[in-house]
Amino acid sequence: MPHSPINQQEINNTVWKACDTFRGTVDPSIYKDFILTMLFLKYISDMHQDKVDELSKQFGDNPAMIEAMMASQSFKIPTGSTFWDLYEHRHEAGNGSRIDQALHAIEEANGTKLKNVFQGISFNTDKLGEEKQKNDILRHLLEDFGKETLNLRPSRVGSLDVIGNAYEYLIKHFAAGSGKSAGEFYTPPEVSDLLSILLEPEEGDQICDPACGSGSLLMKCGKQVQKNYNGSKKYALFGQEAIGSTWSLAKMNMFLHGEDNHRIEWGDTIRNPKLQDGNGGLLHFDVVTANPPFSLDKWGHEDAGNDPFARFRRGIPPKTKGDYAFISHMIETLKPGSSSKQGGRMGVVVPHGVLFRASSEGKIRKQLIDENLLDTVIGLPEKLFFGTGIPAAILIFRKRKTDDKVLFIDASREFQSGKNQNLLTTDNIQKIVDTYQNRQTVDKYAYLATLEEIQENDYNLNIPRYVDTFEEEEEIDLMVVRSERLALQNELANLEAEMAGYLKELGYE
Amino acid sequence: MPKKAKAHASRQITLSELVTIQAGYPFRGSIQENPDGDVKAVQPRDISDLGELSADKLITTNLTGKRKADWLQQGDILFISKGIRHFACYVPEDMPETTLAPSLFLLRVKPEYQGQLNPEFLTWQINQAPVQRYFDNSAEGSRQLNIRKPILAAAPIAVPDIETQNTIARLYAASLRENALLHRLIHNRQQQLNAIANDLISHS
Repeated sequence: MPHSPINQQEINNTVWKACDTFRGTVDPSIYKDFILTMLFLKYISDMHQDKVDELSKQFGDNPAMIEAMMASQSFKIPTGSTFWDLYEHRHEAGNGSRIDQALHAIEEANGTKLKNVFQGISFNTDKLGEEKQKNDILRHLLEDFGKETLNLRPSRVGSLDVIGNAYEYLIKHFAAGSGKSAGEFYTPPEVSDLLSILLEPEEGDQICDPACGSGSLLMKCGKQVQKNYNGSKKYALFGQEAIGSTWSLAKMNMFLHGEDNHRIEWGDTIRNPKLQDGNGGLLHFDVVTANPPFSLDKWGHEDAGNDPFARFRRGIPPKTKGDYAFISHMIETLKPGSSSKQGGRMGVVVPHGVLFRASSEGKIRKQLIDENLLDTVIGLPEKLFFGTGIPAAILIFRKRKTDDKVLFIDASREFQSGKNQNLLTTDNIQKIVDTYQNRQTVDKYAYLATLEEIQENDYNLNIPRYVDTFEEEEEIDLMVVRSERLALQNELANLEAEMAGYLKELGYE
Repeated sequence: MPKKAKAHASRQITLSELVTIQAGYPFRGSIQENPDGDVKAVQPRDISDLGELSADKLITTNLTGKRKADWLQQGDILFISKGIRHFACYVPEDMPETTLAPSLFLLRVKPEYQGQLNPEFLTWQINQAPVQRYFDNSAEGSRQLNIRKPILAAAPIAVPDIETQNTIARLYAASLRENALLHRLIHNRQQQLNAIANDLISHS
């Protein structure tokens, strides 16, 4: 049967509508997992079915042959566990446990690939209400995803991006819809675009995000390599994420975007860094980037003093603000530079306090600058991030710098204002990138500061200290102001007389 | 002050007898700014609290509805029907390719009242306390107050003879100029003080 061409908007709408089934019953922070998991299941099921159909055409009379061929597919789905198997039984009781069983079976059948990915999600949960209501909700869900518009067969979709985009669309909507809590797993796309361009990931690079959330920043970096190296997929993505459901999301997101070469670990990066080499040391990367939680409270201060990886040797960040804990961790996972290789480079999104807070943070900052690791400070506009209005900054660090200066860019005043969120336009991003690459002072926008200048400022990196954006007021001539005043007063007196005339005409005098 | 104000012979009449009332152009959704668009649109934010139109800040957009748009003409009156302010605004000149947002009404003097009704005077009256009080009592909605068309249509208007209207309109126009002048005087004083502060710091 010929399939109609697929339309991204249509898919987004259909999936978003499927959310209606849950609205009012469960919180978005919970049902997002159901929706996103179902989208994943639907996608691999359709992919599976597509292949089966194709093989049936070839080897129609040889089911054993088909089965053998299917065993080599990237995702294996055991008999009875596809989306369509569940769909077929949707009118019977037990939808919840059937879906759970299917997910479990798929996890088992795919070895380490999907290990634990579905463990945090149970469709057979009381959160969906008592048995009958739960069954009804899940039947609706299966029916929404069973619609023809959501036919995600590769033969119809063509490229993977349609599903990946739908995934991103949903994550973004959940982030916008569920307010503060969701900010933790979504970096606005322009900011991850900007980071991925600034860091210039190259072919063969190992790229890591130690606070990867749903993995969008990592995938942007991957896309950057593909874009600049002729579609090359010669790179590897690494990540770690503390929240189990978000980690699952990142895993599914990777597969949906065709990023099979990844290693995303689940766990707390500061207390328990999982990305280690065979000898129990930290892995090192060419590119390290993250948008870690801003000023995280209870980040693991208690054990930082005897960190087995000595990540906090420049100082232990304050108990209630984890910003420098993430920065320190990231610095320690950068590859060293050499005369032939540029070495590790890193981009991190931070709240402004990181630039100027004193005491232990001040000491760490001084040390990082004295070691000549800090390369660039970029001030971003306010209201760019979900769930917080505060302006953020990007810090770029390099293991191997070309000079001993720090470039400051004040990009805080150039943006497109939106209703709740401000936006960086392509032009805004391009200007930041050009300025960064030229590494030169630009009047009222950027300043290349020497180490001495930073020392004179006590290692305070507050951007206005370096980039003077103060608009000189025109020289005011007191004599001109004075004569203008007299003219205005004269005009006012005339007007007063004119108005008195009107009042008289009207009989008020 | 007058012991007793001159009693102007005027008759009370409802607004809809004097003017036609048209809803604003039915843009779909919020009005999207498009620098390459063909038309301009007046929105409530373009109307000051005194009822002046700031024509220089109008956004450029495209017509998204099916209906043909009304272009603004000299003598038209715009009325903000939604939100906390229910002001009227006088259109002082023809504005081709300029229409109005759906949250505004377009009031146009009926042909039979041409020459007998000064629209600038009418604008002034709509913005004064008695008519405003009438709107306050009739506005509907909790967050977004709304004056429906029938409510606007029934607003009570006093119509004196045309000479009186003209004089009031001139007084109103003068009061707008006075307001602007006073603001310039305030700004002028601020400049003076800034200059003194700058002198102090640069000579210390």
